[in-house]
Amino acid sequence: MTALLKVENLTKHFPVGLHNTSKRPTWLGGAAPTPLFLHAVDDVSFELEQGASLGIVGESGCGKSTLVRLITRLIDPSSGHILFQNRHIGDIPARIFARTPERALIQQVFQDPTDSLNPRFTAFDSIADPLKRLGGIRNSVTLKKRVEDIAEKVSLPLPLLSRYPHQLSGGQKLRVGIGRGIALNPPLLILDEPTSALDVSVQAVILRLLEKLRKELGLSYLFVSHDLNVVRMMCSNLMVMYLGKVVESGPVEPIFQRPGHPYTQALLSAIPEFGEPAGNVIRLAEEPQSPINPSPHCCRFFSRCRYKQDLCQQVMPHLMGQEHLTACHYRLDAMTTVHPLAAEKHDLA
Amino acid sequence: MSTNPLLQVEDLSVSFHTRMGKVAVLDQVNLDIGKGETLAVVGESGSGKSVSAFAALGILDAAGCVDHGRVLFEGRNLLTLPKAELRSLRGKDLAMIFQNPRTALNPIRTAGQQIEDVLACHADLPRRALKEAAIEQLAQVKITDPARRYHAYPFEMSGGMCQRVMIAVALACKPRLLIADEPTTGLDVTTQMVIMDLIKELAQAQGMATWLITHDLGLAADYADRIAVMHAGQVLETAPGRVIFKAARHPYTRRLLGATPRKQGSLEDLVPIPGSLPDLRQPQPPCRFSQRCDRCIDACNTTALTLQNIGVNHQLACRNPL
Ligand SMILES: Nc1ncnc2c1ncn2[C@@H]1O[C@H](COP(=O)(O)OP(=O)(O)OP(=O)(O)O)[C@@H](O)[C@H]1O
Ligand SMILES: Nc1ncnc2c1ncn2[C@@H]1O[C@H](COP(=O)(O)OP(=O)(O)OP(=O)(O)O)[C@@H](O)[C@H]1O
Ligand SMILES: [Mg+2]
Ligand SMILES: [Mg+2]
Repeated sequence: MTALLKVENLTKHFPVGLHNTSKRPTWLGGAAPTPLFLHAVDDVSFELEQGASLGIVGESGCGKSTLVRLITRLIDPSSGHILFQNRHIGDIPARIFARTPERALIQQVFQDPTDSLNPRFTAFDSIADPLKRLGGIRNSVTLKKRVEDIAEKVSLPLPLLSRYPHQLSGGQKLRVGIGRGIALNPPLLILDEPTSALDVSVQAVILRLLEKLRKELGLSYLFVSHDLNVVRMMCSNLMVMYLGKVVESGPVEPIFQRPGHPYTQALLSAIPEFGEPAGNVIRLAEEPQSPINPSPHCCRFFSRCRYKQDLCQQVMPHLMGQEHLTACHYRLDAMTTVHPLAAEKHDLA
Repeated sequence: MSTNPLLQVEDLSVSFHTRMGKVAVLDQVNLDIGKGETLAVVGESGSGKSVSAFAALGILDAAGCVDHGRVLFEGRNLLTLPKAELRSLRGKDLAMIFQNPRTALNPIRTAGQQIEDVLACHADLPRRALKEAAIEQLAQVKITDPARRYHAYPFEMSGGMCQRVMIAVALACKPRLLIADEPTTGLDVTTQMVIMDLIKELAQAQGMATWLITHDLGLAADYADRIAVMHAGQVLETAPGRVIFKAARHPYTRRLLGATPRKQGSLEDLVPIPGSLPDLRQPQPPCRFSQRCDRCIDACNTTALTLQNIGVNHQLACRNPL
């Protein structure tokens, strides 16, 4: 099966100023200041198959939204490739991409339904907008029919179509947002924390709706969320990021049951236990390393890792394994390992 | 009921005047928070969690009006306090972390400047010391590279970082009561734990009480001494976390638990709460949950609803409890 979306060595470095190494100005012979870059997304590769759903989790600021913005081509990558249906879309400048046919095929549902809907558009206008702009539908009868079909798919009662965003509840606004997203039958829908602004009751309804749509329309999801319980329910595959890098990826269940990376282990242990006595909660000590000009040799998790060894700051670990990949020299779920703490680690994992 | 209340909200009713008429948003809300205690208020979106806090601090928007009730902070009624006195209490003794940090932070001032603004209001420090104190605050909320982030504008920071800056701003003056409105929404669970540990640590060190507003029941259970469950502007049940999870008596509390994703739960296990919040522009029956409740009896629609003590630290407002 060929991948719907293939991301190869994708990198985004934001310039964030200059660092003066010498006290003397350059015109007096001082060394030129080094430019500083924030490594928001660093050498990320993954594949997403048609109909699959990939969850992306990780610490705030680890680059999830930046990755999403790269894929939806709102910003240009510093390097790397994005292949969508085998076509390179990463090299098309963001401004031009907005006018290419692929633009219609990758849709996003935004986190905050209030921010992302035009306050002067009714629900009908919001859903009709992509149909008119990108779908080229001009005929008002066809348009009305299409919008009503979509409203039905997202379970938005038809009378609500004439309402403005401020007259809709959060869950209803999100339905409009999802309706917009699926209006053009895109194969790929990107959801960046789709339900974080909703309460649990509405969230339950929306999650079921998303699952139904995925099955019915054969959609693929890229699902960014902080709620690991939700990711586990919704996704077949998982990608864990830390400071711009993927530290673990693979099918959801093996990762939840036997996390390989110390960061994943800490992340999973921190899920609130909901009335049960908390188990072995791993509190991440120390500060995260700076994302600005990080060492290319040192593991990004080094400063906070409880299993760190000298090797970890000399050689950057790469993703290894079959299917369930982990970027750790001493992966916790390894069957055979040279690590001296191996026995202890198995107990903890 | 805590024995040593720092803040007592008594029978607070609030309404908004809108173009479509008067909306009775809060109906006789009763809450109390002891010194150093953490009370979590949970409930669906629109249940009045934020409005309760705004009313208590006297920062309701112009359309809002307190119809009834008192808010006692160490015995003084905040609702009748002279404006100037209230303003000096806010920011010093009372601090609030707002929901949605991106809009609560000033977009054209750097993280550092916003902390300095607060510090400058309440302490007389020279510029240099002010900057150092601001950087210190940023470091305290675990922002890496605080000296550089001092110069960062909100748009340059991730959602999580904005949230931490908000917390740094709120805690800058070491308040006695911190109202934290969804302080960790949008944060990953490890950062959430760091932030909540931080709030808890500062709370314990300074004897600060915390009014935590959240819709995450798991978080409430882990960090609060007691949980108050709100629905459509009414407090329906309050109890310590473990009682809420193991022995909740209110049907709404049980429903809320059933809709919350749990570890290893599947999509089928999630049960949405039937119906939706009632339209508060219409007159309401005494129990505003009755229309959505499968245990509704006649008394629910005829007899006034009051929060009653039914056990140690356990209060309930229900005519037909479980
Ligand atoms: N325009 C920009 N200029 C400079 N730095 C940026 C810019 N946009 C994002 N960043 C930085 O890139 C990093 C990744 O940010 P991003 O928003 O992708 O994180 P995230 O994983 O989505 O976090 P969250 O979970 O908090 O939403 C952060 O350190 C952020 O400060
Ligand atoms: N300025 C206003 N004018 C009219 N109604 C308002 C105003 N502010 C709030 N409300 C209404 O008051 C009710 C309670 O709102 P509140 O913001 O307190 O809810 P909440 O429990 O904090 O919800 P969330 O979890 O979404 O933050 C809602 O029905 C809301 O529509
Ligand atoms: Mg993000
Ligand atoms: Mg609120």
